[in-house]
Amino acid sequence: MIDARRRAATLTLVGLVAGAVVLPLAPLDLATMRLGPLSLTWWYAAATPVVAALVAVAALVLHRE
Amino acid sequence: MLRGILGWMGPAIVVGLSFRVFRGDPLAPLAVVLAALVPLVALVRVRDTRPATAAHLTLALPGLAVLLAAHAAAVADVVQLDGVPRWVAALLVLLCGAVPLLVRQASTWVTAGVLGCITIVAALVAIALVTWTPPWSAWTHVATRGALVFGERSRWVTDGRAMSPGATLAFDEPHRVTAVSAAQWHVTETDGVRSITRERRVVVGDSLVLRPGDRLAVDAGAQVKFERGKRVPGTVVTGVEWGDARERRTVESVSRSVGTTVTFAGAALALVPPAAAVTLGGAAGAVAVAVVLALGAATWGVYAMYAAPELALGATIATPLAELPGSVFGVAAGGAAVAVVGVAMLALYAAAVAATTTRVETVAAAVSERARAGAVAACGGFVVIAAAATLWRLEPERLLALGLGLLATTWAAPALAPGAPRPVLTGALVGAGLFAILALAADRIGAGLLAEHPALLAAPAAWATTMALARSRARDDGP
Repeated sequence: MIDARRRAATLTLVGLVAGAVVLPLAPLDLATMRLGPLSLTWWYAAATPVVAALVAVAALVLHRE
Repeated sequence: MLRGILGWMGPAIVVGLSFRVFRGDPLAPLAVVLAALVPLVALVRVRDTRPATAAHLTLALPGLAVLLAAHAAAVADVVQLDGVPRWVAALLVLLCGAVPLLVRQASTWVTAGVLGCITIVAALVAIALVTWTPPWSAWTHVATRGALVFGERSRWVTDGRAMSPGATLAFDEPHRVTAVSAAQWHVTETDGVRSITRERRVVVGDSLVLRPGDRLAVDAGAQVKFERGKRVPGTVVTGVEWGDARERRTVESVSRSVGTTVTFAGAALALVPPAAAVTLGGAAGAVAVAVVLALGAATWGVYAMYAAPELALGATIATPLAELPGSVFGVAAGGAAVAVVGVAMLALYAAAVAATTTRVETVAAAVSERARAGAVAACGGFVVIAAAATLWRLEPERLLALGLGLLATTWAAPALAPGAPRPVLTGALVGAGLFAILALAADRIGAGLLAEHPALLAAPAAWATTMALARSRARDDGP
């Protein structure tokens, strides 16, 4: 069970990394579209580490339990 | 766990990230994601990827040596831009690398690394307060500028500054350049078909109007002044291009993205061990250091382009961290701030050396006591070599790419494939050989991408070789 949680967290994080590689290929200039102050690419770069941090902390703490 | 993160987040990663963002590198957003996320992947994974034999560990050590050299060169560049002579910078780097090998108390170096991280972020908060601009507004401001121009308070406009050795500036609009010191200028004019280079001896006060297409090179140390409101030559032309480079959508750029990802991810698997059971505070602290340092480094690059785009003139990798405080706080307070940033970088370097040595020592101890002693001695040698190498002004970015790539190829890739020691060692050897060939020769046959990211091909080759040999061996052994 513990290994399964960690594997799920690892896969989620790998998926987030893959998203950063794939995002610039998005059609119709989606990647450069502005959402508020930043473009989508930079939103992804700014928000993904925060999401990843939550995923990683959850996986590590659940491992302990 | 925090130690593993500090082994990853060395000065070259932090400084390199800020410089990528500052110069508008198309891969900058990806680099931010990678710097923050790949150590987290390494932390939460279930199985460690580590050399199981002394021979494999020995093969993986050169990558570690090059990585430490990259960190040392980055620190030396920051410290030197603070006005410290290069040899003194090399001595400081040597001292901060050697002490963690003598004082082996882990908590000391973890504390030093965390303090370094806090200092980098605190300086950033001070910059945000002085400019009274949050990072996202600074990004928007730069990304909507029609052109990146010299500000009226820029020292390049008011007093003039010395050009970096070897810098050549390309102009794309008429621009009057004034000599602040006597020097020899080399002006290359292009009429669309051919280029002519004219030598010109200038004295203080002489000025010259450069036309679009002209290039200017001056002797090392020659001081020049530029025109206020004119584009900074040699940088990205507009803020829009800086914020969202169109090159990201090219096949070459995507290949570079994959190469960078393979390089970063493989190296993180080598440097950061998977975490054991931890408390909530321990987990949050370690993860926060990775995320805060990555986002903080990127924000330094954003503020540098926001407050002083002219820093791009002859910029080095250390420019955002070492020169931005002077532009924001003024010369006196800026000097003090840069000194603090320099100390923070030295602390991060010491923490990275301590963490890396512990990682190698732990892996070697599982092999044999002799391997453990040898690994620690090797790390000592690497620290000395890294400090000495700073005297040669090697490029930290290139060293970082090579060090991370070698670790990905010789350490992580073969260890990821399930196999007996011999197939793993053969895989590592094949990867190392291919890596060396690509790094040294790929450029000559027009494969610049592979020369830049040798791990793109070498790491999968090492993994595939190990897998193939392991399967062949399993078949031979039979049921």
